[in-house]
Amino acid sequence: MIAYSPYLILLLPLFAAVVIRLFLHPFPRFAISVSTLACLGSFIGSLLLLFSGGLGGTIAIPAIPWIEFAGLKADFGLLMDPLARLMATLVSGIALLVHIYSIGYLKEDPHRSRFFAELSLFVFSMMGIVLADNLVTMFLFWELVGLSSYLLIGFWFDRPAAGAAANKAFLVNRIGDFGFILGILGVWSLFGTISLVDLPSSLAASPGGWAVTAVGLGLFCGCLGKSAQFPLHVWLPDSMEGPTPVSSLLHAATMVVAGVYMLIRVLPILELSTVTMTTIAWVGGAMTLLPALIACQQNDIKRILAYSTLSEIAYMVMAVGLGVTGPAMYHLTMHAFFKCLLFLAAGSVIHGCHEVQDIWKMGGLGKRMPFTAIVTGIGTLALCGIPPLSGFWSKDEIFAATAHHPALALVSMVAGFFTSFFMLRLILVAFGGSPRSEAARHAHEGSASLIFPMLILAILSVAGGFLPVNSFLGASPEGTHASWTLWVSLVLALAGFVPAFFIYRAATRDPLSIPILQGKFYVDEFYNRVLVANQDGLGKLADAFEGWVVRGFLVRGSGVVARAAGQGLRLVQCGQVQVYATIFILGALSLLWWILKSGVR
Amino acid sequence: MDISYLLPTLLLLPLFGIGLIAFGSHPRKTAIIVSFLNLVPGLLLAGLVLRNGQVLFGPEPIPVRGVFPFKFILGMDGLSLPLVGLTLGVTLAAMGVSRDGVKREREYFICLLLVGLGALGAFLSVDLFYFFSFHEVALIPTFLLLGIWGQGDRSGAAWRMTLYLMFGSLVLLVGLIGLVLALPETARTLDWRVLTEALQTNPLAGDRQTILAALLLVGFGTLISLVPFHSWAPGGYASAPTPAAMLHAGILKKFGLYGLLRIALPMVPAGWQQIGGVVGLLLAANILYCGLAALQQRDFRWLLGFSSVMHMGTIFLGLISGTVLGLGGALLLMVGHGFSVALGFAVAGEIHHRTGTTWIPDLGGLAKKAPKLWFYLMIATMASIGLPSLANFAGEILIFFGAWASHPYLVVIAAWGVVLSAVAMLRAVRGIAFGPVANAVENAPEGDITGTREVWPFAFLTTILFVLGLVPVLVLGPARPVLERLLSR
Repeated sequence: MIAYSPYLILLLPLFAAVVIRLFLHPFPRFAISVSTLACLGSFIGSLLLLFSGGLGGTIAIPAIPWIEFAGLKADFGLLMDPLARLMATLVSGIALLVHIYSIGYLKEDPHRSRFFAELSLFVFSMMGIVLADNLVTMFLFWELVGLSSYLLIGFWFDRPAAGAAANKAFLVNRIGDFGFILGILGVWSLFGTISLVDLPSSLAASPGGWAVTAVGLGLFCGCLGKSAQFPLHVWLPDSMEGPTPVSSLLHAATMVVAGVYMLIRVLPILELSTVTMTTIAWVGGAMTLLPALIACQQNDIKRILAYSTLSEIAYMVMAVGLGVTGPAMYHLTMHAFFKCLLFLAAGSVIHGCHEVQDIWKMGGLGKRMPFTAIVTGIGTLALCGIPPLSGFWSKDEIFAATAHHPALALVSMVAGFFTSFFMLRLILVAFGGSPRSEAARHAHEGSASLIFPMLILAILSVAGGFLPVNSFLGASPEGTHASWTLWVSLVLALAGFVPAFFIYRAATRDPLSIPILQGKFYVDEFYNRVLVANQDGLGKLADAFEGWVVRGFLVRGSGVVARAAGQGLRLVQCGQVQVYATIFILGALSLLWWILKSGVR
Repeated sequence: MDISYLLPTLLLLPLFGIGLIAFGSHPRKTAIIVSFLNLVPGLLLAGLVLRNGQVLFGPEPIPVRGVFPFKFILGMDGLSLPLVGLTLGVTLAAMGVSRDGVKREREYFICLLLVGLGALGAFLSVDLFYFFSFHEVALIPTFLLLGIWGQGDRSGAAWRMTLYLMFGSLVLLVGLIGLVLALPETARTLDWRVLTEALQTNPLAGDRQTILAALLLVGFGTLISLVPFHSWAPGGYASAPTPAAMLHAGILKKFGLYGLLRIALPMVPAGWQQIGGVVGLLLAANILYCGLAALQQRDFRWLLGFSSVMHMGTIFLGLISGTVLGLGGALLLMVGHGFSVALGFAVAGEIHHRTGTTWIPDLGGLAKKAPKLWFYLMIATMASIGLPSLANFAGEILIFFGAWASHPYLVVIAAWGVVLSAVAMLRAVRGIAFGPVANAVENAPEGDITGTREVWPFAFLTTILFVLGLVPVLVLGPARPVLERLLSR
């Protein structure tokens, strides 16, 4: 049994979710305790595993059988290589902090038992993605993560916007998963395995050519959905309708980076095709810049951060596309710290201002919420990659990898400029100046359960860069550290602060107005007008055809004939029902007659 | 104890129940108790098949009056076991959600029990005559249930259903008779074991196989609601009383699929292969056309009907995959779909009972008013759109893997169908459960489903969906040798 004990880090949160669902709904205190303790247990277990098995080693754990049928073998196994162990620790650790934060944040919500059950379900599913040892079970947990995201975004189900956002998130993800599952099928047919363990050794038989490219792009589709990259990025900003702890945990720190994690897992396949790798790099490169531009003209504090998340994930995607997984994973870890921090701080602001999210209705919060202001500042510096905070180290490694791709380097560094711009805009408008609404005048810091997680994350955001992520993963840092990329990116990042400072120093409303950025490049509009409308149009056509031609004309026409026949049969005069019965008995009798006539033995 | 007597017990218990009701015992209670007791021989048989992998036949053939060539033999192998299990489970749940106080209560419950009995008989019969007749035994009460106890446009729906299914049954009959007559006179039999054996050792000529396969396809296909023979289904289910919709969509529809697996595939394999292209086209229409039509439904029961028709397309994909993987997936999805669609109609029935409507624009806010019902609505939705850990997902994924090599384009279509069905179902859930509480929901005299008495059928179906999703070997294990034999020729 001891051999199976690592499954506990996966199963504890599941256990919590089930127990709360079945028994603890009426008892929020117990529900919260069970959920949080399960997460704590998961975190401790992950930590123990992180430090056992040695650096660079893989811990072998027996699998639990699920499907083994006619050549397809998909069991629940745990892949405990350093990458998975690091990611598991990160996920459960951040989740634990968000659990603690949520205790205070949702103190008065009548449905908090359900919230914690869904949170536990999320932790379980996410750990499942991280630890899955084959593509099919990874896909299974992938979908479960989609479900928990759906449930949590729609947590406040009486708000129409929440329901809409939840649906959008699930469906856009489904479109990505459509590509993902086809990619998995492709992997199976090309390489004959879906096991992530056997995959690298099976690649020698690669046929090359367009098939490999298609498979790689299919897998990348999964990443586009879950990690919200163009053209499937539209759900993430809307997902901010969920409670802020959810935005922080799922839609910033952990779930949305699952796509990147998956890409790292299947990198050997992606690398077989330069087309795939180039596509990934360029999608990533472009997506560093576009959301950063949009964020400059957004007014909702959470949406600004959401666009920043899109941009940061794009850095990781670009790094994977360039074939450097170490920096991608490094940035993933650092981003989890500072982006989670920024969201929790935003939550603290929203909590303090009683649900105000428009930064133009805030103002002067620096004096009223000094702790939140300071940690937001720390998060911002880390996000913008200012040394020696965490973001600097990881971004620097990614920029170093772009040294031989000047165009990508340029795009992603310019994105850094705008990141600094919109983050300083956020800080100046929300925390500087004087209050612009009644709510902002009465803003206050939250309880200790809100403060503590932010404190831990602030420390990690400052010092996280010194964690030995690279050496743990066995990745050697790129040797070109002192190259031009460091200086150019740093100068651009710092330069971004300057215009923001002068424009928003004392602004009471936005002096800039750029419609195309406010309209988010009109991607949503395009989808609604062109894709959704067309699909619905086709649906209307099918429905009308069904209603008028098939049901109306054909059936009614033949119905008249049959009714006439039925009238004829009404000698017994017992109503319709007997007519049916008679006809069927006639049918059975004709069977008898036929067979007897032909003399069956 | 002679285990072979367990098989007829499965049929005798419901018959006994029908007798009791006819003689005046409490109809609903009797129906529930009998359906529950029927689980006992069911589970014993399942245990035997699962443990020994053995195929059970018996008792010894009872010749009917000595003159007729039909033999009343019952049998159960890995292919019929899941369907028998499905029938027992869905029947019990359907009795559980039925209500006291319907008009002509006695007849109502007798009809419901007859549907289950007929389905069990069809799945257990080894003789083709009984196989066909038991299905008719189940169909007739279905029409009665729809025509007498239905709602909305019940006579139109009943007519449509009768016309289609009668047409299907007749074509099927012609196909079956043709199959038997195709054999030389000395070898004619109605025992599908012998028939399969004979037709596998001495296959029929190619064109004859094609004709027979086409007849069987149209016959069984109509019962399964294969496009273009599907139009009876959505409206029929929308008008049927809840337990009848559960029984028909959950169980009886699977009769056609079971028939294809049992008869068409092994007996006319070359013909089945020959018409594979046509089947492919039709199933693509099932998925895309009915999927698109599902998007436009504003009535939850119509939506469930269309999405159920749509899933038949995916099952057909498994049937033409030509691999054990695909066939196993089809079998698993048949069972999973049966349980999930039954749960869906059960939930729809509760919503209708409480609010008087399943018209989605009139609903809203159910999650707030009836969280338990919402929970089961979510389970039914998630099962139907193929969420992992529920049975349907395992079936779908096996079908995709099994059909990928032979029909990659159809797999792409089926995978897109998963997206379509998610769009349709989640829109409905959003309309029903999210948003502010609608008047119909607010004014409902009863709120949530409460107490064990109301909740157990839902919990029961949910549990099964999870068990099959997590331990699919329960279905796949015993079926594997049967499916392998079916493909080896």
